[in-house]
Amino acid sequence: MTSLTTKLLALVPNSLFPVRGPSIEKAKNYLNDRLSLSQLLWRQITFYKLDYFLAVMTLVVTHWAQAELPFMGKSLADNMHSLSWSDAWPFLLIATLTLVFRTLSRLYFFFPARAMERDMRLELVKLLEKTPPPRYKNFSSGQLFQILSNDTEQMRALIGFALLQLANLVIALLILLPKLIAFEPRLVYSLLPLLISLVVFILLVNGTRGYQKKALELQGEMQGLILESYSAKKTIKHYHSDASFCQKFNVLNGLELKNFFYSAVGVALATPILPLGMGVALCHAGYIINELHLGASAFILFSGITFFLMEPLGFISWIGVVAAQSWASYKRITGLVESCQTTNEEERLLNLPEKFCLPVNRAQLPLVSLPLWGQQMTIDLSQFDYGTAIALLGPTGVGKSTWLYNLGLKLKSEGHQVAYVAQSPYLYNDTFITNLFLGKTPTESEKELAFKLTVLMGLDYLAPSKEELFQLNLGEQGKKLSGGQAKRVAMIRSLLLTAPILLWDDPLAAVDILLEKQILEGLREYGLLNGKLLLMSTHRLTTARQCDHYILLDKNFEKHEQGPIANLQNNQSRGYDFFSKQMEATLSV
Amino acid sequence: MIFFPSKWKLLFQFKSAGLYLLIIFVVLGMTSWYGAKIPLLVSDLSHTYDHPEKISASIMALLFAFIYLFIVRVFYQIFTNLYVRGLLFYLRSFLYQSWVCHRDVVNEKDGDPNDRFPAGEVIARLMNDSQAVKELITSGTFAIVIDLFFVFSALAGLCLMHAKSGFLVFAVELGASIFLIWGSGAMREAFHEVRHARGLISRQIANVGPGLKEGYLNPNYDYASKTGAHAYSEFMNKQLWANVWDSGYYSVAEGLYPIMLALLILFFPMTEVKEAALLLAIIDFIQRSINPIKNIAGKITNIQRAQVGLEKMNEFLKALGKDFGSEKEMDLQINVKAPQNLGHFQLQKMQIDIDSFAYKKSHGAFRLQHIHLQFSPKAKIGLVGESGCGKSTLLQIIAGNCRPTSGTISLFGADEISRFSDQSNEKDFEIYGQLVCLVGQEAHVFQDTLYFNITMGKGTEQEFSVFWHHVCDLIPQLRSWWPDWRMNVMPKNLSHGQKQLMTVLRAFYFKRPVVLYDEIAAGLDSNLEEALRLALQLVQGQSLVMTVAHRLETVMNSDVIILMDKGTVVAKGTHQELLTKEPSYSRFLQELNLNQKEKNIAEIESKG
Repeated sequence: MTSLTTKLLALVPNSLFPVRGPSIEKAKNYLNDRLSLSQLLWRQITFYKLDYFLAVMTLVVTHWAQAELPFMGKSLADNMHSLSWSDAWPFLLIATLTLVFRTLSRLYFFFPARAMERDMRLELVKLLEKTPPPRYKNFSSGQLFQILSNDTEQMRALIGFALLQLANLVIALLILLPKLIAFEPRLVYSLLPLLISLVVFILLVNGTRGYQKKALELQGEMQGLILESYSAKKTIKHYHSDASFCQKFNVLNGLELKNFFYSAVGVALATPILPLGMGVALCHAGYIINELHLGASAFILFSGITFFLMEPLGFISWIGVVAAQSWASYKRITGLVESCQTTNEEERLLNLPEKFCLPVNRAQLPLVSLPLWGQQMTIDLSQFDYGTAIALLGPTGVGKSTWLYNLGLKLKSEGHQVAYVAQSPYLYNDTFITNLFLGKTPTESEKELAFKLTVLMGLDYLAPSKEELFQLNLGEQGKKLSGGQAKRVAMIRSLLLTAPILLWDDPLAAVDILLEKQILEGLREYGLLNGKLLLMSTHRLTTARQCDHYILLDKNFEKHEQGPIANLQNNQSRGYDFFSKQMEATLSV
Repeated sequence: MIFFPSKWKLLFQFKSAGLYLLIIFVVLGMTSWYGAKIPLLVSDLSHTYDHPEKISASIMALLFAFIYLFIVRVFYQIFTNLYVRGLLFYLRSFLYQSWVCHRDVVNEKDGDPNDRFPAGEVIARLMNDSQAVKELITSGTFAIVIDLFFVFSALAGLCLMHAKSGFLVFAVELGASIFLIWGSGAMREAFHEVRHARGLISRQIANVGPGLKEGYLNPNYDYASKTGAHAYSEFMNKQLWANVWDSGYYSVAEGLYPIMLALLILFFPMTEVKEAALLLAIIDFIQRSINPIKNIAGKITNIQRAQVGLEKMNEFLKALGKDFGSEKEMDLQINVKAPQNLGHFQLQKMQIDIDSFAYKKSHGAFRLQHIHLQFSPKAKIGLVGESGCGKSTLLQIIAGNCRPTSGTISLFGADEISRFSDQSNEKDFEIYGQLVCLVGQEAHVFQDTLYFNITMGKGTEQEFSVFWHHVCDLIPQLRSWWPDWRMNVMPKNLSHGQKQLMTVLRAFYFKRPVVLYDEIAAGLDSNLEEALRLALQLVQGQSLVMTVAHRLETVMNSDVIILMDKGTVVAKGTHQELLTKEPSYSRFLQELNLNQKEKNIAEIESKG
C-alpha cells in the first residue's frame, strides 16, 4: 500500500505536497554571517517564502472552520427538539476541511525546518573541513559531536515545531476572540483566569531553564567519556579499571539526571495549571452567563471556545522548553562558527597570513620561519633539490611533531601543497581504497599505483586478492589494522597525492629495519620521490642514514644543526653527538 | 505488541521502583474518584440555571473539583518524574557497565567482537535510546495515563447518568481509538527507517570528526562533506516521508470532534436525550476526552520510540551476553566483580603451548603453529623476526586478547596454576588476566591526573605518593616532566615516547608476574631512552618480561632470544649461542646493515 501511495505522491508537485527534500546543490547558507536567533528565523522565512505563505493560509482555513463549531454546538442545544439528519452535514464538512488543511499546514511548516537541519549540518562540516585546526582546538571531540549531531536537531525543533505552534496560537486568537466579543464582550473577562494560568506556566518553565542547559552540557560530557572509553577499552580491561570508569560514568549520569529532574519538576508543576485555569474560567463564565441571562446553551459556546484555545495554549509549554534548549544550542553553534572564523592566538604566533593564499608555483620551494622555544627558526627549503629526503632529528620533548605540523600549516597557508602523515594517523571507518583516495574517485592507473605501493609497504597480505584488499573495511578509527599498518596506509595515502612537500611524523618507528630499508629504497627506485621533497622526523640512526640531509632541533637554539647525512659520521658534529649518546646508552644496557 | 512483553520487565527492576509505582497508582485512584463526579457537576450547572440560590453552590462545587484534580495531578507528575529519573540512572549505568566490562576476545572462528559496536553506535544505544525513554516524561506521555484514567471515570459517571448516550459515546470513542492505534501500527516502519538514518548520521560524524585535524593539511577531496551530504540528505528525506503519515494521523484525531457531534445528531432519536443539561454534560465530556484521544496519536509515537529504544538497548545487552528478562535486578552496587586478589601469586614457571591460531581473515598470512616454550620467572625474553612473522600475534595471545584455536598458556604458581586456553571462559580469564600485563603500541593515556593514569583507580593516594617518590629517586627525569602527580595530563601534549614511559610505570605499579612489551618505539633521545631503560630495569627486577622490538640492541642482553619466522619458532637461545649455532640468525643480523659501530660490537662480542 505504501508503494502505491508513493507512486501517487510522485505525481504531485513537491511544492504543493512536500515529501522530497531539496537536492544538495540547492543547500542554503545560514551560519556564515553569524546571525542572531531572530535574524536566523527571518532569513529562514525569506528562503522558503512560498512554503510559509501556504502554511499560514492553510492554518487560517483550519481555524476558521473550527471556530464555527462552538456556535454550531450552541444552536444544536437551542434547537434540540427540531433536529433532522441534514443538520449533520455541516459538521462533516468541517471535519473534512480540518483533516485536509491541518495536514497540509504541518507539512508546509516542517519541510523548511528539515531542509534547514540538513543544510546547517552540511555547512558546519564543510566549515570544519576548511578551517585551520588551531581555531577549534578548544572544542573537544565530544563537543563537536554534540554540536553537529544534537544542536542542529534542536534548531530544527525550534524552526519547525515551535514556529508551527506559535503561528497556530496567533491565528487561533485572531479568529476566535473577535467572534467571542461579537457574541458577548463581558465573556472575554472570563478568559482572564486562562491568561493568568498561562503566565504562571511560562514563569515556572522559564525558572528551570538553567537546569536544562546544564543537563545538555553533561550529556556532552557523557558522550565524551563514552568515546574515550571506546578508544581505551583494551587498556581499561587489562588493568581491571572497569570499576573506576563505571564510577565516573555513574557520577556524570546522576548529575545529568538530577538537572533533568529539576527542570522537569518545573514543567510538572506548570502543566496541570492550564486545565485548572480553564476550569476556573468556566466557573467564572457561569456567573456571567447567569447574570446576563444568556441562556444555558451559552455554556456550550463558552466551553467550546476555551476548548479550541486550550490546544494552542497548551503547546506554549513546549515552545518555551524548545526555545530555551534551542537558544543554548544556537549559542554553541555560533560559538563554534565564530572560533572558526577568527584568527587564533596560535596562528598569530606562527605568523600565518590572515587570508589563505592561492596555490603557488610548484617550482619555488620557500623559506620558512617558525617559532621554536621562543626563537624563530628559519629553514630555507629552496636549498634542497626535489627528490631529496631530509631527516628531522631531535630529543623527545623538543616538539618535533608540533613543529612538523606547524610547518605544514604555514606552508599550506602560504599556498603550498603538502601531504602529512601524523604520528598516529587516523583512518576512517570505510574501505581500504576510500581511505587511500578519500573523496576522490581514482582512475585505473591511480589504482595500479596504489596497489604497487601497498606491495612495497608489505601490506598486500591483508587480503587474498587486489579487489578484496581494496574493499576491505578498516573498522572504526582503523581499528582492524595495527598501529604500524595504519602508519603505512597513511604513507601510501600521502604518496598518492600530488603534493610536492611530504611531511612524515616518524612513520617508520613501528617497522623493522629490513622492511624500512625495503620501503625507502623502493621509493627511490620507483621514482616516487621525483618532484617531491620529503621531510621525515625519526629517532633511528638507520632511518636517518637513508636520507640525504638532516636537521637537528634542540631546545637550546645554539645547538641546532643542519647538514648532509655524511656529517653524522664526523665526530665534531652535534649530530654525531646526538646519536653517540644513544649508542652509549645502548651499550651500557 | 505494546503491552508488556518480557523486555519491559526491566522497567520495574531497580531500587525504589515499587514505592514510586505504588504512590502513582494511589494517585490515579484518587483522580478517578473525582473524575466520575465531573459530568454530574457539569450538568448541575444547567439544571440549577434557573434557580439563583442553587447555582452558586453548583459553581463552587465545580471549582472545588478542579482544584482537587490539580493538586492530585501535581503529585502524579512529580512521582512519575522520580520514577523515570531512577529508571534512567540504572538503565544507563547498567548498559555502560555491561559494555565496559564485556570481555571481548578475538578468536579464529568469530573474528573480532569489537566490530559489532562502533563508537557511534554505543553512543546511540546509551544516549539516544535512553533519551527516548526520557522523552516519555518531557513529551507528556506519562501525563496521558492520568488523562485516560480521568476520561474513563468521567465516562463511567456519564453512563450512570444516562446509560444510552453514555454507551454511544463510549462506542464511538472506542472505535476512534482503535482506528488511531491501528494507524500508528502501520506507521511504525516509517519511524524505524528514520531511526536507522539517524544512527547513520551519528556514525558519520563520529567517523569524520577525529580526522579533521590531520585531514586539514592534506587535500582530502571533501571526504567529510561528501559522506555527510549523503547521510544528512537520507535522513531528511526519510523524515519528510514519515511526516506525511504523522500529520495525517494527527489531523484525523482532530477531526473527531465535529464527527462526533455529527454522529450525536444522527443518533438523537435513538438515544432519547431530552434535556439541555444532559447535552451539556455530553458535549463537555466529548471536549474533555478528545484531547487525550488526540494526544494518544502523538504519544503513541513517543511510546513506540521508547519501545524501539528499549528493544535496541536489549539487543545491545544480549550481544554483550546479558538479558533484560533474566536479570533479577540491575545491580550496580556489586559493580564489577572485584577480581580475586592474586597478589600472593609466586610465578614458578611459564609454559606456552600453541598448536594453532590464525586471524579470521588472514588469507595466506602465516598461521601460528607448533610453539612450545618454557620460561623461568623473571626471565628476560626477546622476541624477534621479520614483519608479519607473528610475534605481535603471539604476544596478543599470551596477553589474553586472542584465544588460540588450539593451545594453552600456563602459569605455574607455588600452589596454583592459572591457564588461558581455547577452552577458557570468562571466569578463567578473570584470574589469568590479573597475572599478565600488556604494554602495547596503543599506549593509551587518559585525560586525567597522572595519579589516575598510573594507578587506574587502584590503591590510595598515600600509597601512590610513596611509590612515586621511590620511582622518581630512581628515574630523576620524571620530576622534570611531571612535577605534580595530581595535575591533569594532556595526552595531546605528550610525545609517543613519554606515553610509553607512563605505560611502563603503570606496569611496574601493578607488579604483575608476566609483562609483555609490544614494539616499543626504538631509539629515543638519550634522556627518554635512559628513563625508559631504567623503568624497564625496574620491571625486569620483579617480573618476567617478554619484549618484541625492532632493534637488536634492546634484546641483546636478554636471557633468551626467540626468533620467529612464518608463524613458528625457528631458533631459541642467547645472543651468543644463536650467533655461533644458528646460521639464520647471523644471516638475519647481516641483512640489517648495521652501522659500523653496531657491527663492531657484534663482532667483538662474537669473538668473545
